[in-house]
Amino acid sequence: MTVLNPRMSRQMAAFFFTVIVLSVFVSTMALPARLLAAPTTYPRAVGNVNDFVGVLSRDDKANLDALIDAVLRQTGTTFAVAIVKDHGDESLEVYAVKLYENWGVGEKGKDKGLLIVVSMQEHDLRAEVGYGLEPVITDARAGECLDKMTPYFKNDQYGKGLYAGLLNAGQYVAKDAGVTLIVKPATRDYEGLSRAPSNLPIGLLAAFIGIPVLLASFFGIRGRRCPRCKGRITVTDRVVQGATYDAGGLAMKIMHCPKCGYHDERPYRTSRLSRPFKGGGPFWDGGFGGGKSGGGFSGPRGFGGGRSGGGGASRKW
Amino acid sequence: MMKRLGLVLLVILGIVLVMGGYGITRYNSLVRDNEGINGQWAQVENQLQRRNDLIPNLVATVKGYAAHEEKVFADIANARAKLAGAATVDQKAQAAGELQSALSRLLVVVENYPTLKADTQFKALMDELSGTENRLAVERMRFNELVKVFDARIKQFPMSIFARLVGMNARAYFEVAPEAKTTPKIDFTK
Repeated sequence: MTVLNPRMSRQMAAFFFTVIVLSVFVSTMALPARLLAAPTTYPRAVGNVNDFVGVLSRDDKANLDALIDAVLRQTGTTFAVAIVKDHGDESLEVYAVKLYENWGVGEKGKDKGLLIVVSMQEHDLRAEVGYGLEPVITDARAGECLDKMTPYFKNDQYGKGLYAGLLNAGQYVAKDAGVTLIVKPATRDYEGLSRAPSNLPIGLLAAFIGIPVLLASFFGIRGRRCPRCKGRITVTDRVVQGATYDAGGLAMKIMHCPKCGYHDERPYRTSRLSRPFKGGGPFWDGGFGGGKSGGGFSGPRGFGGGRSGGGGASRKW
Repeated sequence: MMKRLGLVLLVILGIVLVMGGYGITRYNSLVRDNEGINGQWAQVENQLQRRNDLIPNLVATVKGYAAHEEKVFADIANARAKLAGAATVDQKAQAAGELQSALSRLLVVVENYPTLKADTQFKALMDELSGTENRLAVERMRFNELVKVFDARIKQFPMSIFARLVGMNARAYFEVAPEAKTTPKIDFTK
């Protein structure tokens, strides 16, 4: 560049210097601080009822979907269920509120959602209530719903337990919305659970839900007692081989008595994970269906980015 | 001579304008984040107040079953009074910690009264109390997360120089005394 003279090169130097200073300035000040956050992974929701372990049967899911659908359509409140094998290092409260936010149960801004998280290994159960639902499902009422579930859970009836608890919650929500909740369960054996309105006297309610179950809890025979020393045993359900969408899995029910050292392990099979179908829709035979659920597949309904503030209740079963 | 001077001045003016404009954007975003933190702090205070309001009910219910456990009730009343009278943040934090321990002692007492534990009113109150403690933990967690992001931005170079220039300081985390960290819980399965 023979035309270059001292004046021009100085101008160019100044120009380039300016550009370099500005770009350094801009780029460093614009660095996002979000680089600090470490991402935690939460399972993806495939529907409103998410059984990641495989303890719910297809009938259970159909009935729950029918109930959740009815509540959503009649009151605009979203119910969701997550059954996980464990909640890791975090406490269930922290896990549940983060899962709630991750899934966004309920409409953004309205936050009318309820998420039930069941953790199989620790036998921990939590009802996480969205901001907008807190006036209706107070912490006390959330606890009441969970108390309806625990007797069933102790007898490994997870589907019926969830149904009973969510029905209770649904009735509160419906009363607050000024409607009468109308639910048509998908199978016969759930009809008894559905026919129990909240304003019936407690005695009749007990008859429907199962007097043996209630009596057992009153007399403190919660679940099983240690056959050797009649003390309390700790029960935990550990997943040995996770269920997938193609095959069922294997889990172990471990009963341990801290007093006398009695220890028993009982393996059981868990069902294949299935994608949800619309309540009352066509049922595919296990052998043919596989992972294909052509016309019936729908993702979670009513997940709009809702948030929870940590309200709700927890129980152990 | 004049032309060169004019060009240099123009370049300097250009730099000043760009940096100034950029500076304003950055400052505003810092202000927004700072206000976001203040808003979140208000949520924390809300939950602290809510917990404070729940306690008299809880104590009254327990008294219905365990009237002679006077020491624990007196401890709670004292701790609440102290919290109400606390002025500085340090005093508040200490009083809140004492209230927490008094509450834990109340729960230990409750373990001895199975009929109390089965009382529906008591169960409802305990659920409310645990719920409030959990809400407190969640709002505190969100507060600390906002502070973390803000402090990281403000401390990194060259933002640190800029922030000091405009008078923005790093915010303090909401630390909790160790005994106040655990949520009071009652195991209803026992």
